[in-house]
Parts: sequence; structure tokens; C-alpha cells
Amino acid sequence: MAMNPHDPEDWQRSSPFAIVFFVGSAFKVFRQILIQGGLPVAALVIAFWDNLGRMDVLLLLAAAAILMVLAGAIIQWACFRFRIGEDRLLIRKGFVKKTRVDLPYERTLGVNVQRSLVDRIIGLVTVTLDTSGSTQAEGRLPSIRTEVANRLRARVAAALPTDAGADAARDASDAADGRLAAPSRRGRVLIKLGPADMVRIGLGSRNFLFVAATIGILADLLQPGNLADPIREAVVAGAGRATSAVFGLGALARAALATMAILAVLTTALILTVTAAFLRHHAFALWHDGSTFRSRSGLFTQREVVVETPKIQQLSVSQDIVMRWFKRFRLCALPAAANAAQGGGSPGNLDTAGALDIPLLSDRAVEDLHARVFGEEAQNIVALPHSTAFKRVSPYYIRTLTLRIWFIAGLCLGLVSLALLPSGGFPNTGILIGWIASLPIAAGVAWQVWRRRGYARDEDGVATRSGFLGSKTNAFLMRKAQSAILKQSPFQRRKGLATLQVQLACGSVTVPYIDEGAARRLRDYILYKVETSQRRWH
Amino acid sequence: MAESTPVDAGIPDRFVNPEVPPDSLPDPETLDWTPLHPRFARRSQVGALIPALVVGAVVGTCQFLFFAGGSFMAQRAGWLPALGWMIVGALLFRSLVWPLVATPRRGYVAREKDLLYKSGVFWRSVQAFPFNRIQHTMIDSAPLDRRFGLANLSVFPAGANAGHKIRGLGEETAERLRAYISERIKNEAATEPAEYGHEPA
Repeated sequence: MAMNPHDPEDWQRSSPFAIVFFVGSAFKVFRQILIQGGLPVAALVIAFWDNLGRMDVLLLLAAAAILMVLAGAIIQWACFRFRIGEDRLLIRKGFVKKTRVDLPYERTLGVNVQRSLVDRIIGLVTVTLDTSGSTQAEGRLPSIRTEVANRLRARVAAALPTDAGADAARDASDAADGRLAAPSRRGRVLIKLGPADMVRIGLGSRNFLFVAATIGILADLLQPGNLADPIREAVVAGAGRATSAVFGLGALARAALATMAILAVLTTALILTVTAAFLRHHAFALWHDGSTFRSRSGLFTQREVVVETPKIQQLSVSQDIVMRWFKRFRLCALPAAANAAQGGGSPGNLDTAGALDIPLLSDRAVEDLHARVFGEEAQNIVALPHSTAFKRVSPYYIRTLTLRIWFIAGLCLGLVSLALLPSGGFPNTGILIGWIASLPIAAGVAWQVWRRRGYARDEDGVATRSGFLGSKTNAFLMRKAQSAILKQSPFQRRKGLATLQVQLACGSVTVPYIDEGAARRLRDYILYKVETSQRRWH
Repeated sequence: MAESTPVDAGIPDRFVNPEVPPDSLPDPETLDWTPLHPRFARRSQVGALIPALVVGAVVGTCQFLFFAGGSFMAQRAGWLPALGWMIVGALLFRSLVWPLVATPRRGYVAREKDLLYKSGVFWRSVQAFPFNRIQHTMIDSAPLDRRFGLANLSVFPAGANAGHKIRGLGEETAERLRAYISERIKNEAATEPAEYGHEPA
């Protein structure tokens, strides 16, 4: 598969299976173009919609687009070369716009490995290198042989200051054996998830309600007079007698049947989300070794994420209602995010560095990870959402949020009212009354959001809490801040309040409606920590 | 004030973590803010006037074409041109008055360690950009800016894809500020530790 497998220092090419990866990339670019030029495409579709005689033209255009994507992918694969040097990885890619990437190993802060089912069968892996300078995973080698990947990992490990010698020796040994380096031999296992945890993850998934709603809509489409009439007829044909029997039942029996239908939808949604959890997080394990966190998971496509501790900018811990019932949390360690302007290239050509996502862990594990990431810094910063150390923001926040929610509700209802203009006239009295009646609901929602809002700080770090039904905390070290913004609305100025927004390399964290003096002091202290810190922020 | 703390194993010797009394911290709100270039208000007026005039031309053309005499549109929605002209009037008023109000409330301060920028009339904000977090800077100027001898300076901390733009600087001021920030970035980079070893996040 390599151009010259006998000389590892020579320029190499990915396996032809990498064309699938390039098809994905080309499709993304094509999709971007389609979105940008969406209007003419939509016009084209509308023009041909009612003229089935000319639909063949549209199909031809679609076929041409698919062929273009495929041809683009093959050309990209043919132009993609890489060379694993002693101290750097060199990548040459591009046909029209030729790009040459030079990645010194010492700049690498993470080596992520991903193996799809096909990759695993034929012994290939996709390796992604995260770098500190550009905060992006610039180096992605799709579908390369396992021994090449191991050699690359060994070279990178040798260039890093942490346990370089031992890791390099182990990876070199693996490379010789032709197996993917086993992380279980590197560092201590912190977390392992089993089948019961997969069920918990599936139950706690945010997609659960979405999947349930989708099933509900699909079920609704099977009702008479809808788009899926042919399917409905096929399904109903075999159950004609059962249907007539149902309508022959009493009200109680019908209610029981409706409940059973709802339960069936929820069960199907549960099965789907649990299956998704198995696919994504099967055999999840997290290792920690020195300054490196490494996670591996996946049933068919196996993902390995490696993040160096210094690159982590923020720790997010979340807990929704289901997770609260299980007394479990979800933790996400966010490294520096992509910055398109920095590289000067198109964001579509670059891959964002991956976050370390731990889908299920106990409160003790959260605190343990918190201590491992922040070390001796920010020891008094709370990580768990239910901690009492969080200070609440000003109650005036409720008023502002209530008005904001009420305004949005009014806007939505106004649009509905406009839609009903021909029949109901304007303004529709019912909608107006509904909008006024929604004020207490808006206030209730705002009060609940305010209850969750809070912040805590110590000498080194800041933590914020937010949420509605669930809770989420964001913790970061002050010295990692990129910029700080102090904002005040006219209302806040009258009440002596301010909102502090701290920009990090992975996003921003906001502390709304706190005392103006406290906000200024916190902002100034963050600036002081940033400007006097002698440690690297990434 | 600064005193080196004892270092544990794994922490570089040069690391210091001095305590600082919160009361001794400088207050950016009492700083001597540098206003934007005096011509920026006029440039903003012209910049806002162009779209207002375009909208006015569109409204006038539509009125001439569709609302003339007893046309169908004039009978069904005769109030539409009036609404259009009200919007044009509001845009014209905004383009002429708003820059005179907003420009004096903008300003910047370049300090030894950071750059501050304030803006906003009703919703006010003060942004602070430490030099040791700025990745690079950029100066740009549209034809209208160049006509008024102005330029815009953008600073790019990590994670801010679009950067933060300080508009309405004199061309020479923008260049001097850019050179100063670049110099500060270089100095900060020179003092940054090269290795981090086992240090925590």
C-alpha cells in the first residue's frame, strides 16, 4: 500500500481505502458550496418540481455532482503524500492549491487514532496529530498501515518530554510486531465502562427525546392521508381485523392501547439510544500517564483520543435529570479549539482538535480528574454542580431573563398570528391573551435558570454553573484566559451590576449579573494572572 | 510585592506566584482613554449614509413603478410607501446622528502588558487583550477608510476566529500600535518557558 514500504523515511501514500475519507472531505466542501449557493439550487428544484418530464435533467445534475465528488476524492488521494522523518512529519497535499505541512514532533500535544470497522479488518488506522501552535489537528493521515502509525507514535513519543524513552521503546516493539500500540500498558486505568453503563448513557442521552419525537412523527406519517400512504397500506393490510377490533373496544381499552403505543415508542427510542451508546462508547477506558490522558472506545469504529494535560483549557461537568437519578456525571476536557484565521487557510481544510469526552463517571471520579488536570492549582475550585460553594448571581437576572423569554415568546406568537391573518384577523385576541398569560411561565423558567446560575473562584481558577433542569459547570485556570470583556446594559448600570465574559482558546465563559465592583476586581485579577504567569497556556 | 514561592518537584524553578492585594490592582475605568481619530465620526456617517440612500432609491423606484396613480397596489396597500419612507428617514437620522454619539464613547489604552478597548452607548463594554495571548495582528482599510486617512487594527487571541477589531484609528497610529503590539508579543514570547514537563494544566 505504501509507495516504498522498504524505506520508512521515504514519501508514502495512504491506502486506497483512504479514498472513502477523501470522499467525506470532498462532500463537506461540496455541501459548503451548496449551502452558499443554496438559493439557485432551491430555484432549480422548484423549477423542475412540477415538471416530471424534465426531472431527468435534475437527476443528471445530481449524478454529475456525485461523480465530481468522487473524482475530487481520487485526485486528493493521489496527491496526498506523507513522510515520517526523524523529528517531523511532512505532508504534501492538494491538486490545484498545493499545501505542504511541516509538523515538528515536539509541537505535538496529542496523537489521536481512529479505526473504522473496515480499517480494523484490513489492519489500517487513521492518525491525527494535534499541535499546540495552531491549536488545530493539522496532521491527519487517513487509512495508513498499523506499523506506520506505531512508528509515527513512537517518533512523537520520543520527541515529547514525558517518559519518552520507555514509550518509544514500547511503540517500536509494537511496530515490529505489526500491532496497534496497546495503551493499556501505558499509565494507570482511571475509568472503565461496562454494558450497564452503556444503558445509563443511552437513557441519559439528549437524543432520547429527539429519537422518540422522530418515531412519533414517523408513526404519524402512517396515518391516513399522509405522504407515506403506500407504506401505511402495506402495514395496515395485514392488521385490518386488529384495527376493527380496536375501534370496537371501549374508551378505557382505547386509552390503554394509546398508553401501550406511547410506551412502544419510548421503548424503541430507548433501544436506539442504547444501541448508539454501545456503538460509540463500547469498552470505554481512560488512562492517565504523566501529563497524558488517553481514551479509547467504540464497537465498530474505534476511537482513541490523546490529550496532553497542558493543552486542556476548560473542564465541563454536566448532569441532566436522568444522570442525577443515577448519581453520575459527564465530563468534557476541552483543548484549544480551531482558529481558522491563524493558519490563514480555509477552515474546511482543517480538522478541529478533539475534546476528551468521558460520558459517565461518579462524583469521586470527577474530583479525581479535576485534581489531575489542575494539579496544585485551583484546588479550591468546585467541580460538581451541586456544590454549595457557588455564589448566586443577582436576582435582577430573573427580571431580565423573564423579559427576554417573554419577548421571544411574543415574537413567535406574533408570527403565528401573522400566519393566521386571513382567517383570524390581526391582532388575534386569543394569541394576545395567550402571550400575556405566558408571563408567569416565563418568570418561572427565568427563576429556575437563575437558581442554577452561579460562580466560584479561588486564587487560580474560576468555575461557573448554569442549566435549567440539569446543571453544568465550567472550570478554568485564570492564567489560560485569552481576553476578558466587562459588559453593562443600562439596567445593569442602574443597579450597579455587570457581566463578565472570559474568552478562552476553546470558547468563552460568562458570569452574568454580578456586582460591578466584584466583576471589575475579578477581571483585573484574571488579567494579572495572565500577564504574570510564567507557565505555558497550551 | 513579588516574592518567589517555594517550588515543588516538577515545577520549574523560575515559576513565581506572588500574591497581589486586590486593592492595589489598577482600575481600567480610571485610565486616560485615547479617543478614536476625529475623522472617524464623519467616516461612519458617510458609511451609514450609503445604505440609507440605497434603501431610499429602492423605495422611490418601487413607489414610482407600483404605486403610481390608481394602481392595484396603491388601492390595496397605499400605506406601504409611507412606511418605506419612514424607514428611510430613520436610517438617515441614524446615519447622521448615531456616529456623533457613539464615536466619543469609544477609546483604547495601550498599557505595558495589555490593550484595552471600550465601546458602547447603551450597552457598554471594556475589552482587555493581554499581549502574551495575542497570536497576531492585522491592519485593514476599506476604500472609504483610506479616503478619510483611517485604518482598522485587529488583534487575534487564540480561539477568536474573527479577531477583535479596533476601528477608526489614524493610518499612522494604527501602524505604530501594531508595531508596539508586535514588539510586546515578541518580548512576551522570549520570556515564555520552552518546556512544561509534568506541570499540570
